[in-house]
Amino acid sequence: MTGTGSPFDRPGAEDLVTAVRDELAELVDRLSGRDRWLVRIAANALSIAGRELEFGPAMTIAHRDRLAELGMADDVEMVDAIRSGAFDDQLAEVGTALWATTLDKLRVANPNYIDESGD
Amino acid sequence: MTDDSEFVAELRDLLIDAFGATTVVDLHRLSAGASRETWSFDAKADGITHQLVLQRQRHGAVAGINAVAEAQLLRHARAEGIAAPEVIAAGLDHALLGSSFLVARRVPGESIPRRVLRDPEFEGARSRFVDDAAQQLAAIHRLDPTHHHGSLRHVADELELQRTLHESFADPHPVFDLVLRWLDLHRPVHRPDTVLHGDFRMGNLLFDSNGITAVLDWELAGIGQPGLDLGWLASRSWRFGGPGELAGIASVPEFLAAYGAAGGTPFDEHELQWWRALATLRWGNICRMMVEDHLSGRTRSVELATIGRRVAEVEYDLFMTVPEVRQ
Repeated sequence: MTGTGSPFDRPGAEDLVTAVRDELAELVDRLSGRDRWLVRIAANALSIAGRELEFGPAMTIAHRDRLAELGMADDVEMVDAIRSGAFDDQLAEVGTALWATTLDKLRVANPNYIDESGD
Repeated sequence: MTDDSEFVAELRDLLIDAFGATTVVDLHRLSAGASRETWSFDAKADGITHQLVLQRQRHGAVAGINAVAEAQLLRHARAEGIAAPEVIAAGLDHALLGSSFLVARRVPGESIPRRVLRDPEFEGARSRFVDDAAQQLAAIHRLDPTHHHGSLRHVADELELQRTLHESFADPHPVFDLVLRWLDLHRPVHRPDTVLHGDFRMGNLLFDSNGITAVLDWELAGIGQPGLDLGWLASRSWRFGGPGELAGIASVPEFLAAYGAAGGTPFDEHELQWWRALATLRWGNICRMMVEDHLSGRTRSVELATIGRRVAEVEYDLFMTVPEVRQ
């Protein structure tokens, strides 16, 4: 997130996270047993964090825009409206908006999941 | 467990009724969950070696049914021809052995889903899976529940349980609410309550090359709607990368046909869809509970933390299970 307006020196958070992730990914090959497993999980966690730093800001705006089209300010309002039954006649409309957000979340959390699912 | 010899002495005492005096050897821990531990050991008596496992619950840990209720259920299941482990001893409130403990015979077999789903060795087991698993589950659901009233929990309304759990979390998850709403509006017919295994899925079934050798992990057993077990087994969360929609192996219709043929309640795919959605939502709530352990500081762990991000997979699976809730 370095760039115009940011007081921080380079490299930015995204680069730091990605650099550590890449080093851990190399380290995995030299480890075995529980250490290997722990470092692999750590590398995966940083992969998620790196993707969130990269795509998160745009995805957050896109999610807010989808909620706004349904007249909702945020997830709390959305949740309350669904629970009240206000959207019972338009569940599929709400679901279509939320589905787009779920796909975005999956692109950050585990982009391979869709392919692995064979859908 | 600071003093091994004292612990072993208690174990030997526990086995006297079954085997008389024994020598306990090769005691080692197989796994440790948040509340339960599993140990493997051999007991030698009169030239015979008994291969055994001990499951113990730590003091203060509350999870699932107690070992005495579990032993009663396992013995009942075994008597009815179900591949439940053979119980040797069980008890409660022991200073060294734990608040709840059970010794059973070790059953050989493979439980790791990715191996069962991929290794050539298990090709025969995979081809028999539908009939094997359907027979086991149908036989569990045919057990007379009146034997276990009072000792097994009664799951009166799993949807309300999961809603309460969902609403107890601080973070909003609209997809969960959307699916809960759909579940509210599409409740299936009420079937006669049956004994439930509670966690019947890949990972809790043991296989050799010919098929299922044991049904393990009965601590979530209860009495309730058979759709709970069926939906859990058929949830997309338990495919472990396998190609089949049910357990990574089978199609839902072929499993339901085998389950019905084995004496289970006839379910159609439409009715099961509701239970699959509820089961997937339940898995999502379990993931969120694990994350709470990390976030609250009870158990700081990168593994638990990343499980929180698996909720996105659960949402994806919910949408794939209930395509009606999107256009």
